[in-house]
Amino acid sequence: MTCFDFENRLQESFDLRQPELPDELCAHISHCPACREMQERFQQLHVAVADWQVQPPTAELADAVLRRLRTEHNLVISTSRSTSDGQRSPSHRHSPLTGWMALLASALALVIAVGIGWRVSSNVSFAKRQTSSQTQIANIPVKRLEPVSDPTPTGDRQLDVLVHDARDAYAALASQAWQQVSATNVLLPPTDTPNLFGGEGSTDGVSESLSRPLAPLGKELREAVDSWLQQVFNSQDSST
Amino acid sequence: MSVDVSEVELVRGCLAGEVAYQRLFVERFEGMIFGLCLRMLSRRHDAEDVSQEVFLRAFRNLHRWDGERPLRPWLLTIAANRCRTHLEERGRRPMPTDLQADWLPERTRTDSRDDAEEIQRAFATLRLEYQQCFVLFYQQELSVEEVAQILDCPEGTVKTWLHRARKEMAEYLRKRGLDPQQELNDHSLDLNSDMN
Repeated sequence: MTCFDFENRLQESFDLRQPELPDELCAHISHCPACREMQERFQQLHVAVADWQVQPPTAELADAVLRRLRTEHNLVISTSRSTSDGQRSPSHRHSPLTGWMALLASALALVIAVGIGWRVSSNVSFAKRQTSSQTQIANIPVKRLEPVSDPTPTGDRQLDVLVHDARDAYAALASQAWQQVSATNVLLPPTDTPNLFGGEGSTDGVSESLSRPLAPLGKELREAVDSWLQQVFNSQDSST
Repeated sequence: MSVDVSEVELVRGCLAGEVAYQRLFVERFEGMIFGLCLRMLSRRHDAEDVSQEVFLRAFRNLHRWDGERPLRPWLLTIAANRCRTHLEERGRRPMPTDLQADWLPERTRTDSRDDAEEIQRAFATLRLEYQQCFVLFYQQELSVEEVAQILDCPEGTVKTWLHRARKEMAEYLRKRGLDPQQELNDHSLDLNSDMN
């Protein structure tokens, strides 16, 4: 047996609490002073540990534990009582009617939220359309008033020229105004403005009828105003 | 109330809120719990505080105890965990000088009280795992298997820790000048006088 084996076997015997040293270990220490000293040191340790008594706890340990236990128990009881009292109070009681009201209020809030969202999306598409219309208006050629070239107008001739120029200027202004109004106002459909947002009849996924709910009315109105202007121009032509 | 109440009966009485059973429960196990705490913590005041916590935790969790298993290892597990937590908290604070063995002068042998102090000092130098193993094995007289269950580790690990704890403590005592032959002779003399 080697010294390494001896130490392992010695520890095993300690782990198993063997009261006597096995014979093979006794045989080894009989001719190995180092292992004998080691065994004596362990033996001495065991003797010292056996005398290593623990003094008992104070007599108040049980009382202290029970006191703390009672305090904890009372705390738990008072907490549970206050909780259960709170559940029984009328202010915290939930009736079925209250539940339905809460459900109804939630549904109403949802509808309002959806409506606001739809409105915002409409405004966004309208703003996009308005921006593009502004660009188009800027490209419309404006008919400018030419200065009167005739240096010597006289009598009715001068008046005719003035009325004619005024009529042309009025017509140009009216046409420009109609272009602008029809392009920007939801009331009047843009008859000659191409749809720049998406396909036909739709604007950003919103149909034309939805984005311009009053378009049919606007078309009739436009035709009526156009016919009225034509009559005015004709009457002026006939008068001149 | 009879002291020979079975563990199951004792636990049942405690769960029912019977103060007499609760007192019996504490009195039955307080020596074991306090002994472990005192060995681990080295301070009587701390040991009493932690012992109280151990019993309070035990009462709170008694409904989880498996009635088919012995109560003692279950309680020792709680105590070992509480001691470990307490030592970890204490580790953030400086160690008291009376436990710093390096300072101590050469030992002069006087009586068994000094031996106990030397053992306590030697024990205090061990790692926490070795301390737990050592106390549970020697003081609580549990088997290696039971110690492994309490510490939740393999039996081989417990054997290794025990071996190292023995070697380190023996080495400490050797350095402190404890003569093993004289110690053994004194012990055998004491035994003979007791027998006579």
